[in-house]
Amino acid sequence: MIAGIIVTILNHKLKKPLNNPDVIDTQGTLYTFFASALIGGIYAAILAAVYPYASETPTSVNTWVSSNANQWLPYDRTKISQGGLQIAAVCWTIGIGLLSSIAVAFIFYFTTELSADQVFNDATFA
Amino acid sequence: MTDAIICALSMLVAYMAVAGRVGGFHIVVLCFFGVFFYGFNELVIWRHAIADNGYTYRLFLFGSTFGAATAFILRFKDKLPTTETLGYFASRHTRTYGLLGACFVWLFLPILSCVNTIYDTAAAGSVTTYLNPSILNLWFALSASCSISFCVSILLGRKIHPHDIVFSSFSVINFFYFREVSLTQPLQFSIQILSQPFYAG
Repeated sequence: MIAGIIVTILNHKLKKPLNNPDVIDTQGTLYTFFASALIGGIYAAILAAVYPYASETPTSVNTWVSSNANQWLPYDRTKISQGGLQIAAVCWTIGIGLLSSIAVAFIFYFTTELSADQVFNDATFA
Repeated sequence: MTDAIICALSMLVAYMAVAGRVGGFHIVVLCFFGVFFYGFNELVIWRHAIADNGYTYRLFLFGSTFGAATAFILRFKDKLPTTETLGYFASRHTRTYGLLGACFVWLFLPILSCVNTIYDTAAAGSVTTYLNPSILNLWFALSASCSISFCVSILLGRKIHPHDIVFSSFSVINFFYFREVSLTQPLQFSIQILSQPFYAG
């Protein structure tokens, strides 16, 4: 429901201001994928930090067998540190995406200048 | 092989931001560098044991950032399709494909993503211990997202926009996929956090 509200509002409010100047987000990538993935990443970090793991839940509702308290966390991390690393991974992923886009856009910028007809014409690339 | 498919899907997400505005040569360059940086990002996530069993970070977040930022930097000034250009018809086709994709999401993806998680056989003695409600959770999430999209779409635009329903269908997969898969396929990628049954809808 949260994802539906956010995506619909962004689709209405962000699409025209974004596309009108000269940026074309063709398939709504920014608010369909980015917004929901960002929310999902933050939500996962919160879950990693606060959600009880198998060793912490009563056996009456937990059929999983846990050998030690840190079975579900790597490198003997605490839940808070795992949640913090999840947030750091969100920031890192966005950063590496921006870095790679800059590298690619530079190549595009200095290579070809195609018109709206040319990009869809196979003969241009023959 | 699975990671290769996810890498290809990530490039598809990146391409969707610039679809119809760049040529074939651009796509080759986009994918060439995109795969390189995708591998770099994946390596970092694996080395630090980040829980990304549903590919939210590697697929959706990286792909969308990569594509959208490329579109922002290039700023396609003269690539606006009109009825006189071939790009106009291409944009119509992609919207049709978007609607078909939304139908696919509704019908098949909940089953495909949850088909091997209905029964838990990971407990001692390979005894089936619980019935996992993953499919119901995913369908509940899709229903809630699409229902609220109807309401918000009518409130904001005074009419129902089909794109809102399409986008909300896809977005709930991105939003939900992380949690669903990571909670129900604990050993798939050897990262075992967030892996116990989660019964809240």
